[in-house]
Order: sequence, then C-alpha cells, then structure tokens
Amino acid sequence: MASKSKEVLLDPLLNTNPIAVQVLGICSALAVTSKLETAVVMSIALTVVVALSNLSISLIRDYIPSSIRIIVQLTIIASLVIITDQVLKAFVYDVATQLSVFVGLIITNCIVMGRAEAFAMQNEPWPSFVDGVGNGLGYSLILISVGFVRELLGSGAVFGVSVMPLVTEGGWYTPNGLMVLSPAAFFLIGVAIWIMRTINPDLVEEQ
Amino acid sequence: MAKKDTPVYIAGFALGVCLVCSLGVSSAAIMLKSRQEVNATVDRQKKVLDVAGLLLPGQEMSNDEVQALFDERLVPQLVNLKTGEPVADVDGVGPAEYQPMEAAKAAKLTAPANEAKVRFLPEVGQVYYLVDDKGAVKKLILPIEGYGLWGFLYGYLALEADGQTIAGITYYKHAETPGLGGEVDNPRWKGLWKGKKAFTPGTSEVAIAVVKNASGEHEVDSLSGATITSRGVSNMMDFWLGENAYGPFLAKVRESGPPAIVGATAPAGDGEHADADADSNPEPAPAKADGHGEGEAH
Repeated sequence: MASKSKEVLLDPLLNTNPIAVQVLGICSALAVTSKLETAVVMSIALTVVVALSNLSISLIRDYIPSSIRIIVQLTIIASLVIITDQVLKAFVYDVATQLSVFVGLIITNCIVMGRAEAFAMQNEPWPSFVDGVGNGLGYSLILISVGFVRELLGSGAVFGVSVMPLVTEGGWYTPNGLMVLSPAAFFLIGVAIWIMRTINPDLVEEQ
Repeated sequence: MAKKDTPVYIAGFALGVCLVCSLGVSSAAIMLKSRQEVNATVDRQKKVLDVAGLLLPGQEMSNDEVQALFDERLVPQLVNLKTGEPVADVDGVGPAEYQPMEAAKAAKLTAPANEAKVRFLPEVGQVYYLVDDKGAVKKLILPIEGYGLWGFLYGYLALEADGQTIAGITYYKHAETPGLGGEVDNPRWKGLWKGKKAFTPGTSEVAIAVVKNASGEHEVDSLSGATITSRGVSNMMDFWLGENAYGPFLAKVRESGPPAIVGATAPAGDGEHADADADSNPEPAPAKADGHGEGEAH
C-alpha cells in the first residue's frame, strides 16, 4: 500500500506529468506564468481542487448513477473552485486580482475532470486523494518552472525581487519582451516536453 | 445496478449533490464576504494613499494602518460636476458612502460621447482632499476610469492644490497585458507624471497627453509596446479633466484655490428630504446613513 501510494503520488511528476506528457491544462499554464507568484498560487489552488475533487468523487463513486456521472463530477468541481476563489479573495487579495478569471477556469481544466473520470471513479478515497495531490504537483512543477524562467528573463526578477537590474531602472539587463507574452509559455513547455522525452525514451510514441 | 438507473434515484441523487454543493458554496461566500469587502476597500484606499504620495515604495502596511492613515489624511468630498460647486450630500448620502458611478449607472445617466468610452456619468462626483495636520488642502485626488486595450482601467489622478500641476497617477484595477500595457503600474512610468501641467495655462483646455518622445510640461512618454493602452490613458485625461467631468470644478480651484471642506455630517435641507421621498427611493431615510456609514469606513 505504502509503495503504491508513493507510485501514485510520484508518477504524475515525471512519467505521466499532466502538462508535459498528457498535454492537459495548457490554457492556464500560458496565462498565469508570466510571474512566479501567480504561478505558485495557481498551482496551490489547482492542487487543492484536484485532491479534494478526487477525494469527494471517490467517496460517492459507488452511488453515482452512470448516466449523470459527468455532470455530478462537474458540479462538485465547480463548487470546490468557487470556494477556492472566495478563499483567495479573502486572504491573498492582490494575487487573486491578478489571477482574475483563471481560478474560475480551473472548472474547465482537463486535469481535474480527467483525474475524476479516469482515477477517482475506480479507486478508493485515499489513493484517489494521493493521485490528486500527485497530479497537482506535476502541474505545479511545470507551472513554477515556466513561471521562474519567464519572470527571470522577462522582468529580470524572481518573486518580484529584482535579480538582474533592468536597463530601464539603471541596470544592465534588457528584458526579453517575448517572455512576458503567452507564446513564450508554449516554447518553454515545448522545451520541457523535449527534455522529458530525452530523459525517458519510453514516452516517445512508436513510429 | 438497476436501482441506480431508475429515474427517481437519479433525480434524488442529483438533488442531493446540488444541495450539498450549494450549501458549501453559499456558506463560503457568506463567511468570507466581510473579509473580501475589507480587502477591496483597503486596496482602493492604499492606491489613494499611494497617489497622494503617502506611501513609500515597497512599504508594507497592515489593513488597520492603511485605514487609520486614510482616515487621518484624506477627506472625501462631493462636487457637482456641471457647476463645479461642492455639495454636502446627495439625497442625504454623505461623501464617504456615496458611490457616484453606481448611482449614475442605476439612474442611467448616459455620459456624452467620449473617447474614453465611459458610459455613465454622475451629476455629482467624488473627490478626495489630502489635508495636512492643520486641515489645509494639499492635493486633490480624482477617480478616473476609461477603456484601454482589453477593458476598463480604474484609478486615481492626484493634482496639487493649484488644480493644474499633476502630483501622481495610479490604477487599482485593469486587465492590460503584463509587461506591456500593464506597465501603467510601473513606478518609473508613474513618476513621469509628477509635476506635469494638466491644462494650457489660462484656459480650461486639457493639455496633458501621453505621446511618443514626450517633451515639455504637458506630455508624458507613452508605454513602449502599448500604444492603445497609452492612448486610453490619454483619452481618460481628456474626459475626466474636461468640461463634462471635473473641468468646471478644477477651473474654480485654479481661480480661487481649493474650496473649503464641506462638513460631512451637515443635515440635508427639508426640501431635499421631500425630493428624496418623492423619488420613491427604495432606501427610506437615507439621511441617517451618514454617521453609520462613517463608522463602517473606519
């Protein structure tokens, strides 16, 4: 059990990473990664939502009529997302305003629905919860790495603290304007997928 | 299996899920509401303090400190936009609680056609006076809003007590692209505004503009890579400093200095009370809102 839990938790980090391997949840990965702070808060929000939605769906999985299972999952996910959004607005107002609609859009994030349907519907509550945390962390890993690179190269800062003084502020670093725009996240995620496939050739589809 | 597929079970299950979920969502919303409202208010107050030059860059302040400083140094006032005269209240609602833009929207007071794409314009606008410890007015802070590239920008413009020199600008809500139009939040760019002159001397013509390669006392450099946001900011200046908005008020300020502070607690005249009743205002006896609402703002 312990080793299975560990596998369920760690697999989504590299081997079945939701963004880099399953290519899910790209929309928010593009939108909220221009700064590290928003990327971190978004990661936490998504991890909490996937873990709790997996847990609650798994708890009632034997009672869900199969004809309405998708809408039931969606209702639970939507409720969790709204609660998360309210909590963010109450406790980290500044970041919540920057994340604006993207927290709400977790509802349509394929990772959450995908894990509910593919894992939580067939598994016990505890493994489902761990699977949710694992997938949340896999998402976080990519989001935070992309956020780090984009903020560093795009604004010369990490967590808003200047590490490479900008030319406009009397320093030496000319910021890379592309990095603050969404396409930069596409390139970085592409590079991440490339690296992962190089390290683990099993991920490459057979020709 | 068969039991799970009967229509009655399905309907009952759906109902149960909905009940539990709605209970969760509504209790979260209700429990956190007061906290969220405080956050939103404090955030706006912080921006006002910032534009008034009372916040040092990077200074961290607790919510209570922000509110205390705000209450100590800033006095909300109401101004009739057409005449430029200060007014004590609107239907008994004092300056601290009156929400001009909401009121304009509710009363469908359409704004004259304008480049800033402001749709509603109130008859009475809000102004904050920055006062020193002797109660003298040092700066005037005007709320501004207008369309940028992706949506409306909401912020404040601070003017020195001469009604001509710009003391600062800040936005508290916008959806411009981070790094491009979002640079309206950049302290360096905001610093460019300080000391610029809003009007052509001797006239009420709005002169301040955001342009490329700015020069002179009426021009501010536009944001690189954000032509449309910059134009939006410029349009906002034209509108809010112009004759339809704060123009008449500022003209009076330039002529005879900032008007004396109108007491927020002055009771409304009898005639006004009758008006309020005749309007079949859904909130009866708004006059008592004064003291009560003041308490809330603290």
